[in-house]
Amino acid sequence: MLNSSQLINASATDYLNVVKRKSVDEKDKCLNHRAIFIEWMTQYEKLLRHLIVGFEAKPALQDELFQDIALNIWRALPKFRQDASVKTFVARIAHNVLATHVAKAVKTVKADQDIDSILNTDNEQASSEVTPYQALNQQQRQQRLSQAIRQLKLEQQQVITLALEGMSYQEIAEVLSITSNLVGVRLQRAKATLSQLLEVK
Amino acid sequence: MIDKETTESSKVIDNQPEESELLDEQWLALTEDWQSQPYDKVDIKVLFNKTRRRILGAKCLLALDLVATLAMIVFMIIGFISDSFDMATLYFLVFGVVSSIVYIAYTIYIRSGTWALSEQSPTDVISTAIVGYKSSLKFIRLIKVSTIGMFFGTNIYLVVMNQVHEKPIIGALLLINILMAVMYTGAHYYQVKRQEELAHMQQFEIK
Repeated sequence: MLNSSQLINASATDYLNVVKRKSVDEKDKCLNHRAIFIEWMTQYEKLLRHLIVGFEAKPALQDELFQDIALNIWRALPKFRQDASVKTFVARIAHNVLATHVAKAVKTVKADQDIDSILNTDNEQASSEVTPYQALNQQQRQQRLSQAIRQLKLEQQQVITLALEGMSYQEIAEVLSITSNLVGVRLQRAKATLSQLLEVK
Repeated sequence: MIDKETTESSKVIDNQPEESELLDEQWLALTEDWQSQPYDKVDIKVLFNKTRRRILGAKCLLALDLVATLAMIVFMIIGFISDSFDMATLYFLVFGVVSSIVYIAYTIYIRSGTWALSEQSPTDVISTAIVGYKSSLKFIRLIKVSTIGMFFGTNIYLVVMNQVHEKPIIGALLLINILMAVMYTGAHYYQVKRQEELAHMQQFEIK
């Protein structure tokens, strides 16, 4: 039979083992999160960069937003449910940061004006006539497209950037927590406004 | 709201079938342009380290505040026990400890609220951000009020010390007042900026 000091020693050893195991588990979890974070960021860097361009024109602010999104992904990572899609999870976090950024201030106006003047100068050099969207070179088209997207309403910006990334209605609905029908409605409107802005007709 | 939006949209779509077809034709070209956009690749490992440093930095700031408050408490207790400080210094320490505790408590309250918000569901992100902005404004107001309190506390302390020690303290008085003026002006600048941003965000929410 064990005496009281042996019992105390045994329970102290058990406690130390539990603490040690917990600490090892925490370390493993942290290393695991690090690996997952690096994997996700590597896989979805392009998607995130493209989404950011649809909301902010200034390169310095784009970098800042990218870091903010990374920070939020890192924070939210332990709460990720395995049954959810990583792509929609990452896109949802990005859209949270970007929507807040857009609502915060009209920071893109000046940068967009700058791009506008660059494009106009380029166009004047290319042709004296009014240049249709298709006649621009790819870089100019990309700039014109992202500029036009930034001029849309926030709700339209959200659906159009995700749709341009090739996401389905269902995926967009998951990212934005809205119904697929509403995605269709908003996308149709966004496309109509975009075509006017780009003068693709 | 959704129904209204859906109904209005149906009208838009019904009225412009040709435009819709045209859009579908252009859509592929737009998607290709969008997806082939160049971007500057970042070193993800560097980004990871930067991200962790940012989180650590925020936690360290709070820890530093806590350590400073604890140090002041210890210093005050030593002052009372050893009886080596004059009354003015002791009063100043008590004032400092009380304000510091209030400041820390309020900071933890505000920060914990903000951190809890960042973990919420993103369904209503603008409303969440508005709450965040309001708490940020509260924090700025707290800094301003603390600075005003410090202004009176420090000036009274320095004047009393001047009477006791009969040493000229004009240099210290000037330096501390300039420092507090800078703190107050900085806080005020951020308050105005945040208020403007909040007003803009609230307009967004109404839309």
